[in-house]
Amino acid sequence: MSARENRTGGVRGPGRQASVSGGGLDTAALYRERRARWRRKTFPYWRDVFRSGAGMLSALALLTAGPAYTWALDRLPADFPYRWIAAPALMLAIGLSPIRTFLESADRVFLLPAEQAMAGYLRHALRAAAIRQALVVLAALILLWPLYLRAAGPDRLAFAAALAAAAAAKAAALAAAAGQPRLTRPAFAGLAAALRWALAAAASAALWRYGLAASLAATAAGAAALAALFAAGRKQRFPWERLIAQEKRQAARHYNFLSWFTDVPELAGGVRRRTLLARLADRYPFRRDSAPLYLFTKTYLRHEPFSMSVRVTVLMALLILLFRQPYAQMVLFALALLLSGLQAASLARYHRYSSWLYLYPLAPGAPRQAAGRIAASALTAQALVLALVLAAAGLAWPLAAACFCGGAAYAAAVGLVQGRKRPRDDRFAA
Amino acid sequence: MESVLTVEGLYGGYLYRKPVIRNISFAVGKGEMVGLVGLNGAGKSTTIKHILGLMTPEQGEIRVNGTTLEENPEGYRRSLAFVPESPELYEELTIREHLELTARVYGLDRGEFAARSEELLKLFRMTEKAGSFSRHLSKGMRQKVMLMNAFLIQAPLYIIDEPFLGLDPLGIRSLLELMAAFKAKGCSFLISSHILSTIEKYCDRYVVLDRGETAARGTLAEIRAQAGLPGDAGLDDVFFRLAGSGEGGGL
Repeated sequence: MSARENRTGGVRGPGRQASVSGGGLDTAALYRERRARWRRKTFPYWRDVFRSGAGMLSALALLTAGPAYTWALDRLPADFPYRWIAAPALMLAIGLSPIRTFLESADRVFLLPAEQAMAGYLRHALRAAAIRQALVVLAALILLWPLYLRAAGPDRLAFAAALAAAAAAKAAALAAAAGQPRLTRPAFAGLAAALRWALAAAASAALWRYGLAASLAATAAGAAALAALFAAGRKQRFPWERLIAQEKRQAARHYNFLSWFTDVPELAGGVRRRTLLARLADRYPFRRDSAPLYLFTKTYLRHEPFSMSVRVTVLMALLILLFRQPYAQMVLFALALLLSGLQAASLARYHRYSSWLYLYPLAPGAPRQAAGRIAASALTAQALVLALVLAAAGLAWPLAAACFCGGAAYAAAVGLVQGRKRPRDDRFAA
Repeated sequence: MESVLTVEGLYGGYLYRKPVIRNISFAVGKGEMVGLVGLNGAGKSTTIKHILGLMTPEQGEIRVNGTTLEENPEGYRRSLAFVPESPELYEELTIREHLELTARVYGLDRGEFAARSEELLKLFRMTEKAGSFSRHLSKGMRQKVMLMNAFLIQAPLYIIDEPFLGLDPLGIRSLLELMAAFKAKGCSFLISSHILSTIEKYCDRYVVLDRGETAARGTLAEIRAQAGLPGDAGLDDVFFRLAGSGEGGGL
């Protein structure tokens, strides 16, 4: 077998035939294929997100945000310190430079022989990131511009000049983010990240304070420092391990966001330690019948449903304190329980495919019932906290108590339904 | 000898009327260690899945401690401990919490759990990792966690699929010591492994599977005779003769 044939053979793997043309690696096709695969994989979750009501809420938020922004702008004092908002906002748009490569662990085996061609693959990833991030910078500037026009003095920048400065800084930051994984010494990689953020901060602050030339100078200085760092540091030709780890982190961030609304089995590393809270489960009696409760309590406290429940409780508590109308307060109370109920209901799905719960000598259905009990307890606790907030926010005590009773009844119903529910392929039923 | 496990005329597979394993019969006596050997795809894992109750036999009967899964599900499951080939751990639990869950499930009291878990953590050199989540462990360490959980209880029957996979030499020695100690206490073992030289030293009898059927079963001397080999032939030679007669076998 010739070296060329050997290389092609290494590239060929399951589902990769489309990316290999004429014996070489078609990096453009491979990147497109990977991106399409990611979209296909996440599409069902996005559908669930919109079904969960988040789509409607987002549309409502967008519809109300526009008039609210205009209303706020109309009331701005002439000396409003707009730079305190504009500088960090643009800095974030410039500094955040994620590059999705869609690389997978198996690539270390199947694509390693084609390492030479992989530089082309990364160029496609970089181009896609550049387009997406340029749009983000443009959107940030468009959003900030009315504020700038309102609060800045007579010597105002032209929009095109601000856009040019932001684009230059973004290009430098993105180039730094692309080169960073290649630096072999972690200290150099860390320094590159710090310099990228310093460049973003300096370019943004200089733009709003001194104008185009100062911002370009800050970008040039940052780029020169980064170039010197890259020249001095040892570089890996193609940093497989780092790129794959980086891709995993970015995918996990997406899944983490999606898991706020739906059950995401792919979510890896979504477990939080929460040592003190998780100790609550240790207090169950040391008996066989408490084993499923032990497992599901730890699962609940260390996973997203608990985090989501805390976030929803805090957010709704703040809104209840903000809105003084009793009806609005009670609607917020009900909304909080409803959202947490959806999350708590997902608890029973966590160990659905675990062989252990089937192999353990446990009563049939015991794990499902444990999940139901935990969902009910968590919702009751949330109802109690929010009922106390309702009372503190001025709602009459009898009404707050009635809300708690309603919430507790809802919690019991969720627990009961979860405890009895038997999904088609549920092993707990055995 | 009193049997802890009896498999009688077992037929089963993944598609109805297309059994992967056919007419498998063997028994594991009290305090006995039986090696289940065969090439990849010979039907070892399918046989184990049937014994565990993860698959339902098309024909035949499986009894653990005299009972079938249908007759007494809790008693059946309480009688066996299983170590799978690929470690399966809960990502939400630390190593110590896995041990506590097992202790609760099998009805150990808190004192027994504390003493035995510390002993096992020490034996497998995992004390420092007791508070770690499974995702932070290497494959060998994850396998040690599976073994510690299995040996935390004293089950009448241990089913261990590829016990040595991923273990370091000290881990292998600890496992072999544990198996010998538990065997001396009357526990029985069904071990599926490709490390023939090791299991030859420890197993009392063997079941050799070939393409879903029993190619031979008995003591080493018995299966040697069934393979038509002389008295000094080892398990390796017997296995090669019994299972290596199909495709492959040399370049």
